[in-house]
Amino acid sequence: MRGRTLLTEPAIELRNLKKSYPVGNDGTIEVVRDVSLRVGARELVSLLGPSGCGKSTILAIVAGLTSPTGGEVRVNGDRVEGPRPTEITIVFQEPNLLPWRRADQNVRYGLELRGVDPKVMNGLVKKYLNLVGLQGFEKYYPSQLSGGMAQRVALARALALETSIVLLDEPFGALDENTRSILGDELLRIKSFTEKTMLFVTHSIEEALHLSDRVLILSARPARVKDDIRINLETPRTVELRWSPEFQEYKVRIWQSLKDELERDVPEPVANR
Amino acid sequence: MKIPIWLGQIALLLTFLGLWEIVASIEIISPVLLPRFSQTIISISGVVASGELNYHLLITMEELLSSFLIAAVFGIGAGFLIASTKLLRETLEPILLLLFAIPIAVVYPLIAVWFGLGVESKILFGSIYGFFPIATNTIAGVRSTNKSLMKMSKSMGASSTRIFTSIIFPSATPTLITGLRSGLNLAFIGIIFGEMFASLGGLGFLINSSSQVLDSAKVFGLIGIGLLVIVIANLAFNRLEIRSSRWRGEL
Ligand SMILES: Nc1ncnc2c1ncn2[C@@H]1O[C@H](COP(=O)(O)OP(=O)(O)OP(=O)(O)O)[C@@H](O)[C@H]1O
Ligand SMILES: [Mg+2]
Repeated sequence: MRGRTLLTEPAIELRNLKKSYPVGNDGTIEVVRDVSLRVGARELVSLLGPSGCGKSTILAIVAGLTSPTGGEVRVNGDRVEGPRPTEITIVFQEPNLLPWRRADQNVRYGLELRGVDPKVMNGLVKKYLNLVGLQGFEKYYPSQLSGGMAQRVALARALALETSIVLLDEPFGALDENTRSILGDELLRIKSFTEKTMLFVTHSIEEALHLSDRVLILSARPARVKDDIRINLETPRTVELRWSPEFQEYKVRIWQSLKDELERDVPEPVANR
Repeated sequence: MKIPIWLGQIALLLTFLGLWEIVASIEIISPVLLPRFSQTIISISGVVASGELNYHLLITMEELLSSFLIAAVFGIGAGFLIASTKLLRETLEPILLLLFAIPIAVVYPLIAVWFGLGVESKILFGSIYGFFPIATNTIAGVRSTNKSLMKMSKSMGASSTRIFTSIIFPSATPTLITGLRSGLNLAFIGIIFGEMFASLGGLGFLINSSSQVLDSAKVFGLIGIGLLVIVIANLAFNRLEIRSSRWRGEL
């Protein structure tokens, strides 16, 4: 690992990241404590951890939306100090679609901000709406889309920017098991021909195993990296693989690591004296 | 088959006018207090034919339009400005709401003294009336903006200007339009009040002078004209509201 990084920069690198939020008048809540991790180029790494442990916070920091209280984030070797829309896009936990724009206009949004030529823009919008399987729904308003379709539009909007790094914050979290696994496969398919680096937050062990090259287990808040597990399962991963002994072994191992964290009492926010 | 809503509304209106005519013609109530609907119509036709209505209505419309424009420009401007920073919002919004609660009519005598009996005092008075709902609704509209949308926009590289034009402004629009509607209605009330209280012309002036000579049919007719003005204006706002929130509903 160490030798390889001399040759190629990791796409994402967190060094001793810390984050506390102020609460009330004079309190703070420690959300992230000393997280260090690396995501290599074209790797798909999952962050798995208990609810409220700081996963979204870590992603927001990598996306340049929130500044850390300590440590640093590097993306392709550069220190992150704000959003880098040409390198990173983030798909949030909620679709965050603009309700007054139709599906295709929502996918356009990021491209408009970038100032892409309208002709090119139309092509990209069409391409990515098709890619997430939404042809025929271009003219629908978000209020007319199902939850899964809205999340697909959000995915298309992010992918249309064609950045090398995509951060995904439980993008399929609100969906049923089946839709979720279909979209997961879709994501793998897209990844296979776009050479993207992905940092993927989930609370589903199966989803993490199905998609990832590596799974990082985070501790209960304040988040630390507790385990870093490389998943050596054959690719492409079929649904049947889920019933294989290797898959089950990984599952048990991850579950055991995660279980302690799910049971741990998390510290209350503390007052600064 | 479903009966269209507007048909029901027209039936309701006709029933009301019919009842009015009947009750008034029995003369349980003195005709000075309640003239018949038909008399009202005859009276108002005379006012229209003589050009009297035209003259006064034009004054009122000029005042209303000017007040509304002034109230809209200052109300929307102030609203967005106040909503833009926490400090301004927290200091000014309570003051604004407090001022809104004061019956502004109490300052009209002062305004009439300062600005005279012409259209200026009415325009100022109407503008003040219209300003508050527009400003407070603009602030409320900005506040209703979903913060996550702003974060999403920022992550895609939007500048603050772009965040304003592409997220905050469209989010605030429906509430803002509601504010404009209240602003217009309140400006109208203010103007009619001002005209009745101290002026040389306008619909309110005409109502006031007719009621002083106990010409009830004319007063009723003029009130009807006033209602018509405000109903038409509100219908226009209905259309605007529907247009601006088409995305909420079905295709
Ligand atoms: N802006 C904020 N101010 C104060 N506390 C915050 C803020 N944002 C997040 N937190 C706190 O930080 C902790 C972690 O939040 P975060 O959203 O990162 O968790 P998460 O791991 O993504 O949880 P989930 O799996 O439920 O989405 C929570 O306790 C939350 O209350
Ligand atoms: Mg989260």
